Amino acid sequence: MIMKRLSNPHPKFRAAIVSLVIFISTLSWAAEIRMWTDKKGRTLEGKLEKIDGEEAIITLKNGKEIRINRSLLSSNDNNYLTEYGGGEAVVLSGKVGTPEKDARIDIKTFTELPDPFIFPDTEITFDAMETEHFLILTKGSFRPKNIAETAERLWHGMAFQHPTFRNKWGENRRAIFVVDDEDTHKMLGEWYREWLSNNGGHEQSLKLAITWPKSTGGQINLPPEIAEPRGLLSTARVFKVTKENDSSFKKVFTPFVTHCVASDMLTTQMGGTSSFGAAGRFSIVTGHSYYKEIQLAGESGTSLISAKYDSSDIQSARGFANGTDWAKELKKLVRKGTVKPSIEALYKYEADTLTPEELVLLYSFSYFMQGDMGRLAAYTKMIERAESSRQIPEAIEIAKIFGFETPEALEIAWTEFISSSAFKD
Amino acid sequence: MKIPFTFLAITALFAFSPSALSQGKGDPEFRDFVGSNGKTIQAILVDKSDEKAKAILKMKNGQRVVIDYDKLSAGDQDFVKKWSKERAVFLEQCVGLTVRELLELRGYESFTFRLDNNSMIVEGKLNGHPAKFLIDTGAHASVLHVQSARNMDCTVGEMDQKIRGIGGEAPAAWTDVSEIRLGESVIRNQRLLSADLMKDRPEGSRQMEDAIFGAEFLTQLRAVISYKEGRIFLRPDLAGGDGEVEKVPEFRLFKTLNGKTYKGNVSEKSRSAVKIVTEDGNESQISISSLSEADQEYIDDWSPQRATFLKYCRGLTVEDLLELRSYESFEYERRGNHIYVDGLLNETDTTFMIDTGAQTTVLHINTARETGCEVGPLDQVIYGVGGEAPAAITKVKLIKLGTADITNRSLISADLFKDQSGKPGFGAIFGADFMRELNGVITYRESRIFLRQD
Repeated sequence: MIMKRLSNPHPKFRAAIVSLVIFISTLSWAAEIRMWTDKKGRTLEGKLEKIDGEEAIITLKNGKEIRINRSLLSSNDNNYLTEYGGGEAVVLSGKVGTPEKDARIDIKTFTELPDPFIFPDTEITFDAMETEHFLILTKGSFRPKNIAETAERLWHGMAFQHPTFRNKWGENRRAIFVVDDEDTHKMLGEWYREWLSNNGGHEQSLKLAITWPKSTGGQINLPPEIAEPRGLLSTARVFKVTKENDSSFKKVFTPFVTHCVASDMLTTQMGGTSSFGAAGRFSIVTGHSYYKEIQLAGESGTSLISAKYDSSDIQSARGFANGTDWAKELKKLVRKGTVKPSIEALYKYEADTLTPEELVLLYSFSYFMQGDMGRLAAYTKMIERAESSRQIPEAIEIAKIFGFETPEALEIAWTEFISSSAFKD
Repeated sequence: MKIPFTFLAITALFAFSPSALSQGKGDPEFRDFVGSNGKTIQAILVDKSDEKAKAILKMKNGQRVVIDYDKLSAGDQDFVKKWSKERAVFLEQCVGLTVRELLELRGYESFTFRLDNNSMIVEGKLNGHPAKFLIDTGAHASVLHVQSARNMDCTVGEMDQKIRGIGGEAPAAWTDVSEIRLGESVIRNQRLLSADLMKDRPEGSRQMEDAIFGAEFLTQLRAVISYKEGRIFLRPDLAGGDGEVEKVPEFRLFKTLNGKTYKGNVSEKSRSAVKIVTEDGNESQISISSLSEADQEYIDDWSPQRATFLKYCRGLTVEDLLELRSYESFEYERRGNHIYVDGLLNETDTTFMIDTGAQTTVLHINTARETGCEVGPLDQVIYGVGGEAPAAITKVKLIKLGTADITNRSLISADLFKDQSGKPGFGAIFGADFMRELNGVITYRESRIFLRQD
């Protein structure tokens, strides 16, 4: 954040020289103290003093004033400046940054907890590392810092781009289990299968029996009695480290971990779905996960696996394509007419039957929706709508959110985007 | 410049003329005032007295003139009569205040709510035990979850009563509750119904609330519910009374740590000092750190905007404040404790019941069919206090409330009046999904809801 410190307008008061006290005289003194977020994920608490051209002047709690260029602030902050500061509405456009990479994360704040985490109902104990928003639970000699940093960076990216994300997350942490031995992974799977079975999830339990052994990045629900006392969100990610995939956990922003955590962030923001609102959700979440994976890791290393009849969110670290030439290949297919972007078709995609061409289309649609600052603002609104209505908006409504009159008009713009130089790996 | 109107010298006729004030947002704009003689001057209206039929205009050269209403054109007279100084001061000097600040300045207590699948959950206490309350405008009376009531030392009677809701009827018991506490709002010695709020829920369902905080208490406490701010505002001081009592006295009594007192108001502050104008008009400058903890907190929150608002704008209603924030306002019809608003469902006039306790909007199935919605088979299930009920996925082209259009949605429809005789009183439940989408605000004291479609 470029913050220019102003000269202190509030000289220290001394009773003996009261006549020299300079009081704040402006009537445009700010409103309430609020949290501001910059592109680097940094936050500060302060009141809006006023808007001066392209800059917001904010008075911090300690009385210091800083100037921040509006372009460096989140869209939520800019909306606030427009509503309460009388500033012009900012029409966002241009290239999208990567707040996940810009965020300043101090890994020294990651704390290894002295006491192990004992998973209730099992004999499994985990070493625990706490970050601001995650609890990384490891079994074995695995070092969790890279996963922790990846997760925190993705968290800050969401907080920057989705105004309600921070409040929704609240003071909670999300548990990420990382296990490097087969037995622990198996025991966790068995515990979860039994829990599902005892809590009305018989069908899911059966599916899990098939998918869990193959999965290296599954999701589990944590019962309230485990989650609530520890301030954990009710869903957790379970990574299995193997000889084949251990490189995925040895640095920040590896494809597989980025994919899985990005998926978790988006599903947290979207919340649950109604019994009839699932159409399109798989495509939106999967497209987003691949988009973030390739954007941040530079390649894809994730493949979807499933039981025969399962479309649950399970990833495997052994990818069928590395994503480095997806854009190039899709451009060719679209040019030839072999592949035609269609929102209606996209709503029907399922993990079991997804073809590589369809997967790359999902990626391209997410790229299209998030690849420009203006469209990213619309994407944020679409995700908010999905959350409150508990369903992905219909194609015509997505078109309207993105400023098109019809789905066909949006599809034309999407196709043009694929053909353009803006769409690249 | 020759002033074409007759005017008076400024006197003490008007107690306050802040700066040039307009009725629009942002900087005031000069208006062409036309005199009864047809001549025009550019000026800003800064004050008026309807009793004396006089207005103060500030001209471009800074000069102020007092002019009789009857010296203005009919259009200008109309403009002057409709002009409100409170609104003008607000727009000029207080527009940066949030709805939360505005309501808290008016004496409301506020606290955050959490949305759990669109359900508005507030943490409070039931007989001293931490408890989760579902804020539910659709419940005409509060209901306790029977197991929570037992766990929290309520006296639960026989299950010889009945409650009704979506899903039909469910057994209920009269239950004596010693105390319900939400923030500073305390409700004592109530006899409420308790029932199994998890009736018919699927295995593994999560209990979200210990009690439904219903419309009778929301009415008594003059609740304001704001989805955009994620807050509910209450006036416990007004419970049981009719009129609004101004909580903020004209002067505040400041106390220093060494026992000295100052009765007055803050006029300015710096990081470490505050200037207080005492009731006799004298100014005192005091180190903030020498004040009591409560006074230090007050000073920390104080801003010129807040002071201006309290001094000049306190007469504005919640309706005024929200309309100044571009909300569209609807007066709602109240039947019992329920809230109804008229709108359109697929171009047909339809009455909607506003229900924050409904996670999603639900149409009465007959209304849905009659208004041309595409109603699917009854292969879905919805749950209410009466248990489960069959429901159908229903495609809706349009729901319209005022200027807010909700288009192309898949909703649920069900028989909302199962086992009830007589003509249905409404056509659909307008649930929390759309209240969120439209940044809904409900004000019980003014019987209005406010919507703003971004």
